[in-house]
Amino acid sequence: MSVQDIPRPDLPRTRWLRRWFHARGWKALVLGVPSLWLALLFLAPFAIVLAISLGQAAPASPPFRFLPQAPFTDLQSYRRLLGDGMVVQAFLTSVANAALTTLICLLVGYPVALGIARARPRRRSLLLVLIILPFWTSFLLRVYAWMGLLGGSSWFNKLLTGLFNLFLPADRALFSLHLMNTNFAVVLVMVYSYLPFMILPLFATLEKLDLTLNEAAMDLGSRPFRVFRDVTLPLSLPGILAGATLVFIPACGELVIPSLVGNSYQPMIGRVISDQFSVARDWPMAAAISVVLLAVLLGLMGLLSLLNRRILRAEGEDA
Amino acid sequence: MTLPMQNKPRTAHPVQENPEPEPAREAFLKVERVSKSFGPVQAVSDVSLDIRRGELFSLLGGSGCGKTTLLRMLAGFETPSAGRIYIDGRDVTDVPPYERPVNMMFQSYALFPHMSVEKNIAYGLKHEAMSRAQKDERVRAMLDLVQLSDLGRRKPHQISGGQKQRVALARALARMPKVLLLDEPLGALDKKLREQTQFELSNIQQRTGITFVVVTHDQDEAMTLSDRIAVMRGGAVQQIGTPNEVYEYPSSGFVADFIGSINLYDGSVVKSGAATRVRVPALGREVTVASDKALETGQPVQVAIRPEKISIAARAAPGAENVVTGRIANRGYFGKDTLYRVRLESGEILLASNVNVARALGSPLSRESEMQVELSFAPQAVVVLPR
Amino acid sequence: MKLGNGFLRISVLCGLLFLYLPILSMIVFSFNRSSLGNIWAGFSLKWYARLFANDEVIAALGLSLRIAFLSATLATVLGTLAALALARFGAFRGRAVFSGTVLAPLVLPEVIAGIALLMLFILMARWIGWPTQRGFLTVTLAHATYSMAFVTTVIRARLVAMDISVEEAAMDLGSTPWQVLRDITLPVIAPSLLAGWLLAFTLSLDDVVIANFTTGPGATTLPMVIWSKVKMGITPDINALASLIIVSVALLVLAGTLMMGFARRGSPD
Repeated sequence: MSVQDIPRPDLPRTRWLRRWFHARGWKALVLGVPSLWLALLFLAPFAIVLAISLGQAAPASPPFRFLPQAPFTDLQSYRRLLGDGMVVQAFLTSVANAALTTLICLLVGYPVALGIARARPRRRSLLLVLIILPFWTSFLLRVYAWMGLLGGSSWFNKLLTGLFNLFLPADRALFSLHLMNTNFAVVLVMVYSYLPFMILPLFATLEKLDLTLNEAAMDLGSRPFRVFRDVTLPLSLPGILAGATLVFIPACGELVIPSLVGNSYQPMIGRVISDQFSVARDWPMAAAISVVLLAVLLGLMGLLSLLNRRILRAEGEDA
Repeated sequence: MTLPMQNKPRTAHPVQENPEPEPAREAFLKVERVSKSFGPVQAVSDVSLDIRRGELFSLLGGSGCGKTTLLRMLAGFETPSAGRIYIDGRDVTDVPPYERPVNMMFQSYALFPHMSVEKNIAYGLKHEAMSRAQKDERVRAMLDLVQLSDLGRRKPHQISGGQKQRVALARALARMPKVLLLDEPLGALDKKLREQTQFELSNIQQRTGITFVVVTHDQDEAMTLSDRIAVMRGGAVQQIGTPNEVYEYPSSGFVADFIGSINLYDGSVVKSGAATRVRVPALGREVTVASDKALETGQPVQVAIRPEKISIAARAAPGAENVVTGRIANRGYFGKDTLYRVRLESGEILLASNVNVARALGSPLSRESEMQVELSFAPQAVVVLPR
Repeated sequence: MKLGNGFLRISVLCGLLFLYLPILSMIVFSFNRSSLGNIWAGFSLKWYARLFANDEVIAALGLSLRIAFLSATLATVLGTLAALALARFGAFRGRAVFSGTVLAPLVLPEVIAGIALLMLFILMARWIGWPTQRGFLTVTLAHATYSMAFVTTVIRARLVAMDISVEEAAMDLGSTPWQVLRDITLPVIAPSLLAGWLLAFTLSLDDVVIANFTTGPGATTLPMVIWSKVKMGITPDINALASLIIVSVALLVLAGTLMMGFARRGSPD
């Protein structure tokens, strides 16, 4: 940039546009472009989903219509949804699987995150890279890798069967464990896929903890486990909440994992939405289930962030 | 009141011409030839200390001198590479921190942010065999002791820095430890608050009678607080003594220079015996000193003279000993006294200070720059140190 | 703090083993001679050879790369703008709505996003005649919208952490807000722009659900090819493909991390 480019009060009037842009116009642009994009490609689709959920399935193209007279809308999809045992069951399965996944991720991920946070700095960054690395590689392929392990003839299954048979009388020994296409497999692979999402926020919180607080607790008579319970655990609650959010929410709506390693008689809600839309071609029903799922997830997020703010306020940090 | 208060007579330190070791008392906290190395770094080397019951003992030194490592070994956070530590006759070298009769006040205070002031103070009592009422009573007594009775329900982020410092003190005292360790207890406070808190701290120490070990880099703090000071450097103890002893009878040039300011010059003994004379090239003359040390003629030494022990005047009083001349290079006016930097004929700088006894504008020595002055000091003012 | 360290160390080891064991097993079995996916029958490279002869896979890979490149670029531009608005514009009117909308895809189930966008595209085609057919363009738009939230998060974090006094200094030296953005802010946050772009690129390259809904006949991305094959069960050629993809991505990420590490060590702070 040369000296001549610097705007001065005595700029010629013809350059008012440029001056306006330099001072204010770029702000309108910065805010306007993404807003417009999101309105068209994010808010509009959701308005459409909401609208269709209030319509009726019809043998047309696209396969729905609204009531021909006022109020034009119809809550029948929502009524059907609540009456449909399969849909309610799928909701419950999803929540249960997601909750179980979150719990196991927490139990497995906490010691890992703590171990990394307490490792020496150089080793710490290596370990972090190793935890993040799978996240960058294909999610679909990592699920696929488990399909290879769960099948009845795989070495992993044989190993587990062997271990299992140690606790069984010889005459009742199993040939292989039925792992593939079970709810167990769904939870196992979800834990596998979402574990980094639990470890990373936990690590971020644990790394920041002041170790002199641990020393203070120890100095005041607490043994190491007590120090963990009284100091480390309560102070890492924000990380636990963040990790739980990042695992639970996507696990609830998971489609790929239950489709590949789950079974068809215990579907999760994502599978039901997809089937209603593509197989049954019942758009209003698919839309209604989506709206309910979103409402549940948003409500949950609100609750979690409220909880988080309360915890942070109790510690005097800015929420 | 369950606080065992006792009034400990403060040991007075009369100015002694010849410091004699105080009569040996039983050491309460005994550090015996302790060393600590972190890999190739020797943080503490061969330190021995005998700290008496009820004493306020300071470890003084610059950063990296090993004082904090030593304190952490007393607390049990570090294990000595060699040597033993005894408290009240019991070997605690391998006792973990949570089983030591020792509590620490951390430099950062390390208050638990998720607990109220009361809960912080009560935390250490969880592990004591006390009834709930006794614990509440103890917490209240501690809050009273540090004058925070109204703030018990506040969280640490809701109180000021000075209040946090007192909560940290109360928390560490609540368990009635045999020894209280304080890591830079006043370091995070501003100057005014520090001076005020200094006296509060020694007041509390006298009322509770608990042995205090303070780590500090601040010589003023060490001087005003302590019964005795250990001056440390490079992981080793340089000198142990009362504030008076280390100030007036430093054992080395380092101690002399570290505590207060001092003029330090090389010299060599010309005549030993009753009126010892030392030739000091920087001063451009032979100096008469009153030294009790056995000095040999020709021995290389250092002479050290405190600025306040040098009189500065346009003309030295008749009969003054050890007179040297120079020109004033700078003046530093501190209110209570004025510090003169005087350039001697040798080119060396000599510091001399004058207490401003009279209330007056302008200094007794005119502000004329490069003014010629005569400086003199008594033979007793000179410390002779081995070189 | 020595106590409990043994337990933590073993936990970290077990955690890493859990994360890497399935991948390593898959890579090993990609060299399996047998066509039965998980019974070892000796070493062979034949599945790799067959993979490179598969035109369907090569074509799908090309499409996926093009979609990922374009959508990542769009997402980075949009995400940077959104991050600037969130981090530098203070409390403007509608900020809560804007921030909620920008970040919502982070927690939005992909199924719902896919179906919503498909409904939008179908209705738009009916009402305004566009898009006439779904494929490259619709998937790219969908991916850009979805990845934008992730890019925004990455860049916004950098903007918040950045020392604002640098921008104030530039303004004090006579730059207009726009010039500050161009001359100071963007160069400083450049590494996070790259990180955001890479994240968006990977997300797009990886996505099967949204692509499945928003694409049309004739435009099949690589994950969709894989998806249709793995639904049938494990096959050795997918083992080979998966190994290639995972190893190359891992190497790229490792190289990137090392480069960033060196760059950071080289800088004087």
